[in-house]
Amino acid sequence: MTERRGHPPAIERDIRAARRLEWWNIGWSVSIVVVMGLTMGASQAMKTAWLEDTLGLVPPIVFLIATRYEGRAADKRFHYGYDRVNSLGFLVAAVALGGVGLFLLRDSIVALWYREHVTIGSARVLGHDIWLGWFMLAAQAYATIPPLIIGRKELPLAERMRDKLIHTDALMNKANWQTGIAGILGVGGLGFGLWWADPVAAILISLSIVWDAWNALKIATAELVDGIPRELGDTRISKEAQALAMALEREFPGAKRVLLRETGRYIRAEVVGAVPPADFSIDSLGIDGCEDWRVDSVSFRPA
Amino acid sequence: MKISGALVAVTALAMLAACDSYPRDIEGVRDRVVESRQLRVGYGSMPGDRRSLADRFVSRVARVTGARATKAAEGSDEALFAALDRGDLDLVVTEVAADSPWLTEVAVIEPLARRRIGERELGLSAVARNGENRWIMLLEREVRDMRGAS
Repeated sequence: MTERRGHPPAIERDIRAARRLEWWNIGWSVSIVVVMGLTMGASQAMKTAWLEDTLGLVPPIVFLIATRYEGRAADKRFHYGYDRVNSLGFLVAAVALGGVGLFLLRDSIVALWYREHVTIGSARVLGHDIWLGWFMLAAQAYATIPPLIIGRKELPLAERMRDKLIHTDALMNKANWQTGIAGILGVGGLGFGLWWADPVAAILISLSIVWDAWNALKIATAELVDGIPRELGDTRISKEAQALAMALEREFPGAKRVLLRETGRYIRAEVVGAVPPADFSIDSLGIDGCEDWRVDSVSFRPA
Repeated sequence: MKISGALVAVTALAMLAACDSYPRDIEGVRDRVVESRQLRVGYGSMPGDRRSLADRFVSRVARVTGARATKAAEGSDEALFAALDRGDLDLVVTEVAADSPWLTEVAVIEPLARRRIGERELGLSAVARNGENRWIMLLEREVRDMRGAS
């Protein structure tokens, strides 16, 4: 079996940049959670958006933990290293996200079904009575800005690093700022006397949470059950994996099969029914369309 | 992104344009009281000194809305809250416990006064129908002004 020699410097730089970005992401998200928590009152849309913002902390935290583990070498207890830690964390997060999303969806449907009218009172500030809905609208407007910026910065990094966790986080950030817009319309509509605006906004937000969870669950599960390497945000086999398979098939025409699986951002290949020459190395393959660092290892299983 | 931005801008503009009457009531209680010049009040059972405080508060609200207050009902909180929820009353003034299960069913305004009976704290509060946010704001303002004046 031949194994990789680590990331190229450009990817190392991207990982460091992604870690810095995720620390910023956590900082901004915590500020949003605090601001939303202080203003949410009885609004179902605000409560749901607050929870989505809180759950939005999970991917960056999982990424920071995973990259810390990823840097560790294989040891006596974990012969294949710790590349899959992010998938494990992600699976746990996806299940939690899905559970909470379904619970909130049920709550919002009940509120709509029973035509619950939401009360938003006022507070006296410097002698003026101000409707608390204005604070909610301001909090929601604030909550749309950081995810919009961070999500856009994450996408190119995710593509270069082939990092599904960062890619999903970028999609969650997109969902979060859209949630902010839905929340604004919900509370704003309630201010116009439209009782249904709040639960309808909450239903839309809950659906976005469930959708996030479903996508995360698919990605984490595919990796944990040794699925084929996929394109980011897609279920099709990745072009790099295809290129690797073709290069191996070309190199070992007598092989019965070339098996591929994904481990974190790496691809592991197994050639069935072939024995490698003594001087075989991944570099000798000359894979066109697949960066060298992505191939974690190529192993052989003689027939 | 462009569509969402436009939506926000339209919503913000609409809100600014409607600032004068924003927020609105879902069932329009405040407008009905002002237009009909009739304020239908329900009173919970309470001691005499609390009742005079409640009357003073109701008079304030009637003056601000230009309406005439009429005692439409008196009795148990459950019956009063049910009438409030059905739209038969505009306002209930009663003593509500801090842990009352009604706190989520109706809009209980911050108390005019508090008293303790054993471990339980009762607040003399104005109570409105949930979702009547403009009406609730008016009641809250009157409660704060009255407490500030006393």
